[in-house]
Amino acid sequence: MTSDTRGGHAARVTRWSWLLALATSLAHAQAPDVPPNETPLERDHRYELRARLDPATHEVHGEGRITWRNESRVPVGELVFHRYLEAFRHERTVFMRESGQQLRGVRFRGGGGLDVNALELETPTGRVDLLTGTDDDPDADDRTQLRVRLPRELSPGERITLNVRFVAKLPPVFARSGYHGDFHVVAQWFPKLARLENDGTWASFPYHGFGEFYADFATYDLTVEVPRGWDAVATGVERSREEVDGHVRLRFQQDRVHDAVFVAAPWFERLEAEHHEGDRNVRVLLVHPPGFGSAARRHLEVTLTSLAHFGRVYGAYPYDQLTVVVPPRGADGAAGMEYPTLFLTAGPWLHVPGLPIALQDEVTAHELAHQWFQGMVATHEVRWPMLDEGLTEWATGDALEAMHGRARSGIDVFGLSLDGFELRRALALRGTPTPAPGSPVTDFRRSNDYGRAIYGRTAVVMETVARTWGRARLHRTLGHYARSQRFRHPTPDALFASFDREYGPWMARDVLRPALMIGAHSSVHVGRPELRDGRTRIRLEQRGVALPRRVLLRGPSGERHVTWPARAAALDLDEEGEWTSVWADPHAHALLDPDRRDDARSTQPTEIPEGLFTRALVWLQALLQGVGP
Amino acid sequence: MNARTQFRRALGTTFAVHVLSTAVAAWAALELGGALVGAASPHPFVAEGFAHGGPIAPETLATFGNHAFGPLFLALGAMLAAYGLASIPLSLIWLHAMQGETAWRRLPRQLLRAVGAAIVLCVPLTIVAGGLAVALPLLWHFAFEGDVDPRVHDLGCLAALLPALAVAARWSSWADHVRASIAFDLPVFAALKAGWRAGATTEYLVFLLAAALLFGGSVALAGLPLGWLSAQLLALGRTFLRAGWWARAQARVMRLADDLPPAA
Repeated sequence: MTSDTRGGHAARVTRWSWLLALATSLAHAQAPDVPPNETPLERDHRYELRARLDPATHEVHGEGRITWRNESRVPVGELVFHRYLEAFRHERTVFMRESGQQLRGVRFRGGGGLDVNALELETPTGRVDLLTGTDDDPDADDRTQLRVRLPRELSPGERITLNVRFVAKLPPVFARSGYHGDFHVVAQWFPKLARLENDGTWASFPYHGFGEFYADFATYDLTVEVPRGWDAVATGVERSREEVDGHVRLRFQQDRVHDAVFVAAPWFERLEAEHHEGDRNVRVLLVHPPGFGSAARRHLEVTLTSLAHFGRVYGAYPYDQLTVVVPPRGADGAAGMEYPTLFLTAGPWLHVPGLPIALQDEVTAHELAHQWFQGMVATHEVRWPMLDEGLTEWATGDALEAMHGRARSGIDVFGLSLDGFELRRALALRGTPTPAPGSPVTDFRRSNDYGRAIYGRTAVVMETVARTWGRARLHRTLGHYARSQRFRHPTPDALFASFDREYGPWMARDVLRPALMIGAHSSVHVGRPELRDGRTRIRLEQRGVALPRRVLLRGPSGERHVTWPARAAALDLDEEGEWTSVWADPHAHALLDPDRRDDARSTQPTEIPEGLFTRALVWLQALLQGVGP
Repeated sequence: MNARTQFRRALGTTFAVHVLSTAVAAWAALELGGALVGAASPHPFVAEGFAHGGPIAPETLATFGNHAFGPLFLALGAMLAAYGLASIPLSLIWLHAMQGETAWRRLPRQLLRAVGAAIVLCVPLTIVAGGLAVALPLLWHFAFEGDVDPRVHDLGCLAALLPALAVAARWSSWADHVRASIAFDLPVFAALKAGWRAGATTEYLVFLLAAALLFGGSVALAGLPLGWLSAQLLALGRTFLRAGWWARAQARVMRLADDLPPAA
């Protein structure tokens, strides 16, 4: 612990260092951006999928041709597939046990599954059945992974083609997939190869209660058949639409994505718009149920505004189309979920202004931000969920601040406005301790803890960096990370490297790793001002992550600011004059302090805030007139 | 005697009623502010945060929650209950002023009758309006829960509340006319009959809407410069609006009640 007892001199010295930091920041802000990486490492993966939806049985009969290349540097003798829908087979699966058979308040109401009926390897001598001899016990507790042996080892760089036939049974909408009435969200519906890491290990895992997904980039060519009179939207661009045998057949194509879903219903209403960015045009298609017109227009507005904002910060959206699905009421289990080039938003049919954090604005901005953080920067969502949900949550709050202003980014109703990040701080830092944001999903036992740590605390850490060292610098940092890691699969080290590049090698070591990987706070304790001999002495201490802070002094003669550098764990102020109150970080830059009550001290009673008496009087008069004569 | 005459005659009493309610509200607001400041004083920023939308911030809740909120809510509840109980004699005094005299000798008897009538009127309101408010939206909900267009469900549920609201408005108008009749010394059942005949539900709703608009205006103005003054003017307007309704109710009762002389 170091102590700074130089008082006023310290303040002058640190003021110069602030100016120097500001100049450095401006110099950085003017440096050119890194161009986005446009090519995935895995270039030869291809899924050609054909699906027919039976709305009566809620089954999808599918077949596919998968081309895959061993991108690792070692030979592989087996293949591992994810069968996420198997998580809904019965109550004994890993997902059901970990989630307690509910997700985001929606309870499991009935089974689903993914039966792989054929899996064959194309060879020069014919097709080889890969299912024979596979250990795939239908009564096993968890069948969300399928491991098959290859007839011979596959050398690095060698390519294979597989043919697969399967039936996906959708559950009543739950945990991102399923049906609600005529509305079908067909997600995680085909056997999908796990990602083979560079060292030859399969990044395979069961479908976890709080976890999502992780996969290679690939080209998807998807043909969907739905009954006549129905409509469907899917990952990618619709290339063709025709009526065949009483069905509507639609074909969608998209390259450089790591998943493909489709959503079908007989009642879609459509809104369309164009997003222009440089020489690129993106078609934005929004589908919604009847009656959702008002909300849909707001979803579209937020989508277009956020596309521009995220494009500026993290690099332009690289695909030709973005599809937004507004789910009907009752389909909450599939709402608020992101897929490449398509997301499902959430919210009521009526746009309610004044509640950006709870309704249309937040969900739409959040799911759109996922197009970058996990859609393009395809991190391992089970191992490091903070890299997708955490960064996305900060990006969401940042976009809402840009849209509504900081003070109104959370709530703005009946004269009460609230900063969205203060709400996230309240969510993240109060209550029982949680695992650190850098933990894997398997470290969490309660969904509330998962939300507080992964979403809340990561966002609060990022916002603390933005408010302490400047928002432009954080935009540049995350912009560098998102651009350089686009179409890659980075770990936290890549994120920290982008921070160290912008701020210096201390940022990851002293701030991010303690705050994100250990879960450290950054709190302040301010002592009571002591007035003696015409001077004021105050001791301030900080614990946890060291952050530079401003200190506000107030007295009969006015107020002044003192800078408290991060390196000083304690600050002993010895100031000339009478300073009756002291307030560390008065503009609430450091959101990592779980209790700010000891961030300020005063020798004087607090004055009633201006306007409080008038507002209280107005409301009380109305109450009395209501019960009175 | 018409409503305008009665309204003018009671101007002084109306103003006194307003001053009384304002004084009670101001006292409560000062107590509220004092308690909040007392709780926040060791942490000066909490009060500043409160002025900028801080009530939900965890520190604000923690600061006030320990010592201030419980007793404050209790005191405010007691104040409202006391003022609510005082409203029956106050309204009778107000109505007497409109008649040109305050018959103090008859007041205790009228007060008993007014309390009795209020209790009698509570029963049909609770059964009919309460039953309608629960049953009709529920019926609609179960009938249209699965409709793809949620407007059918939601707007229908809202519309299903209207019959209960209509009953409540009719009841409120009835209760006021009963009290106006009792101020003329009618017995309870004659007052109930006269009040029912007076009706005026639509007019009651118009007065209620005007009061709500004035309240909305005062809330909006309270945060502006000179907000205190403008909010107080609107609050005064609400009191006089209520006086206008009482005067019209009394004039209407005089016209319709069998036991009273016809209005001049």
